[in-house]
Amino acid sequence: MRMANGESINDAFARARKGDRAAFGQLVMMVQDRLYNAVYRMTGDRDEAADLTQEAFTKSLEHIGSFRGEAQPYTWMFRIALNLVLSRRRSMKVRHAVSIDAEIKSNTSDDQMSRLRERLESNVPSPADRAEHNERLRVVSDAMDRIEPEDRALLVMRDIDGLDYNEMASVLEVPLGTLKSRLFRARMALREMVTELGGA
Amino acid sequence: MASQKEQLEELLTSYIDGVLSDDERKAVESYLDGHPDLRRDINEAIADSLALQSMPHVTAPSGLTESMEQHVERDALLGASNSSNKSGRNYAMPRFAIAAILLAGLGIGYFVYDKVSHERGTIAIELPRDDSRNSARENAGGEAGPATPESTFKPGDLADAAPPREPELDSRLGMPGTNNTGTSTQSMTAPAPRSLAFRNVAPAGDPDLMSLPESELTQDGRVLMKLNIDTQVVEAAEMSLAGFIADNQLELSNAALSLGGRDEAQAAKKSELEAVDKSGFDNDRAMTKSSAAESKQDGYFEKLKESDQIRRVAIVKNIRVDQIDTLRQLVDRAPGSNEATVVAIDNPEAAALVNKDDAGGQLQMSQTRADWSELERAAYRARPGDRLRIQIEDPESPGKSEEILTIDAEGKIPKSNLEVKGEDLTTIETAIADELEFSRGAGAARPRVNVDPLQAMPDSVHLEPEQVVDLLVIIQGPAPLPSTTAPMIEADPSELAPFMPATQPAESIE
Repeated sequence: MRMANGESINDAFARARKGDRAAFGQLVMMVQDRLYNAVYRMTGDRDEAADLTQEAFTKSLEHIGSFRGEAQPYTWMFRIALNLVLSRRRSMKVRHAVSIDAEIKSNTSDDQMSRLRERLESNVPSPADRAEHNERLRVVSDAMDRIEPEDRALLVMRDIDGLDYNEMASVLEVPLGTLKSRLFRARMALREMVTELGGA
Repeated sequence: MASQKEQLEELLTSYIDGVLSDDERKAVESYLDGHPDLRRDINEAIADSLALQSMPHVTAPSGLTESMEQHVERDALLGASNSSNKSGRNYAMPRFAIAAILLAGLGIGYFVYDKVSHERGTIAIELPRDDSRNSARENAGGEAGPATPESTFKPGDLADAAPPREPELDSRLGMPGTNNTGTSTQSMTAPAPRSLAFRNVAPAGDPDLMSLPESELTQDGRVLMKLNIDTQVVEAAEMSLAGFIADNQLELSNAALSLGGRDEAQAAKKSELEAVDKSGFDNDRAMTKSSAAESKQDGYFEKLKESDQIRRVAIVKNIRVDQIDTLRQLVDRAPGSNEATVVAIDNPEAAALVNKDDAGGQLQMSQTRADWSELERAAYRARPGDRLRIQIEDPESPGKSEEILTIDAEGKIPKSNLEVKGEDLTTIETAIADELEFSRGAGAARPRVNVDPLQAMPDSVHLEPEQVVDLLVIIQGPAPLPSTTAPMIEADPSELAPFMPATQPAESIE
């Protein structure tokens, strides 16, 4: 990822480590959406995600001097964000069951929702196909809210944030084989939850 | 050392992600054949994975960075006034410094440093709302990927081929995304490909396969790839394709076709296909296809004629050979009865026909189409021990002769005594034809020869992993694509208001 001036994350990070104030700001601009999206998918709550993303950036800046260069800058920042998410999950012991549907419902009445759904459905080109796709998305989203935060984080890293195995292993500081094994178990946990929720 | 179970889990993870080598994949599939329950779980896990990948990308709230200043300021103030804090007052000062860094760095406003009391820090901050971040995004241009989907996606653009989530899709998924004026107002936007520069070389307003520049497809040895996608997973497949292209920094140089919803264009295309079908196809390679391959081609052609809705056509340029199968698997593994095949055009005449302006590119492509083995055929180099089927159509004698021969230890074809070790199939065919023609003396008609490897040694088919090729990717699906500019939701704005949180004022963390 590069800014318009051609600067990459690594360039900006390197400058930020040397105390360049503008560079850290640029770094934030480059990664904030990606990091926020990942945190949101791990927490299921927009406000909480914004709060944690901010905190992750703040901590990144505080500790940028101790960055040893053993990971990519984004991976390092992701690890900070992940630790914050898991730490908060553990302290809250509260599961946020926010799904796509729930999010929409939280903003509107049932009547509005049903009216919109009717309208949407009336515009869907292939209702059966779309319905199936939407249903899977809904169930998977719900299931994500219900599995263990650690499993959820793994799935977010891989399938939503698009980290590769090496990056994930770097974030979690585990060997590659262990990472893959954990990822498999996380997927099976999700699968089990999807089945429990009546999905495929 | 990992247990057997852990090793299996590792393999299955890679299988789900489609990153196994061919041999490993076959081994896993063979294992799954014996474990149908596990296979079902794995298939469903793949579908889950694709569903996660297709989830809409959520962008950071516009007030995030400025809220961050307040957050930092608050912490600084709390730190300064809280003597129990382990860092005490010393903690506060770095926080102020952080606030200043963020403000200076982000360039999103200015702050007035009125005074910093040693008793209690005070900072007055004045920030413009919303605009600054948007302009920063614009400055980031099209390469910021997920951070800038709104700025990179334009209707009709190449992004249409490896699409960010379209507003209509959000709507279909029950997601807010587009108001009835077609203006994006929701921050839930597409997972736009990362670090991907799109370049639309198709003429504006005429995004059609036939308008692809000739140079794209007419070079010898060009590898084409066809991805025939089941309707139910076309979006997921598109997402996978986009992600793969982005992750591997590949250049997507064409997004040519988007016929869905355009009845007239579809009808015209179908008519062209049928017309060219009747005209036949004059190509040596096609004429000498095995009956099985021809049957497969016919099936494909029929399917193509029926498929009025080719969804996407794109040329993926400069893809390494060792990435091709991963790309193919990404689509092939999607749930449903998908078919992913690769077309290797190893004949310049056939390649030229693919792009013939007046005759429906798809048809010619279908005639030169084969499956993955065709790519292997293109990469075949004869080795001792290979068994070859040699078919000869000799104008001097009616009928067609066929013989199966094994290349001897010296790399020669018995009987003909031709040295063919390391030669590709076209060279072997030419050599045999030359020999027959020569043996018949001057004036004899040249025989037509076709050679197919029946059983090749493992190292006979070898594409260098780092070899770079171009792919033509076609994604089909009957679901018509709505116009990217057409409003999907026709509703009273007030009814949609609850779904439009993007215009919320920046919020404070307090």
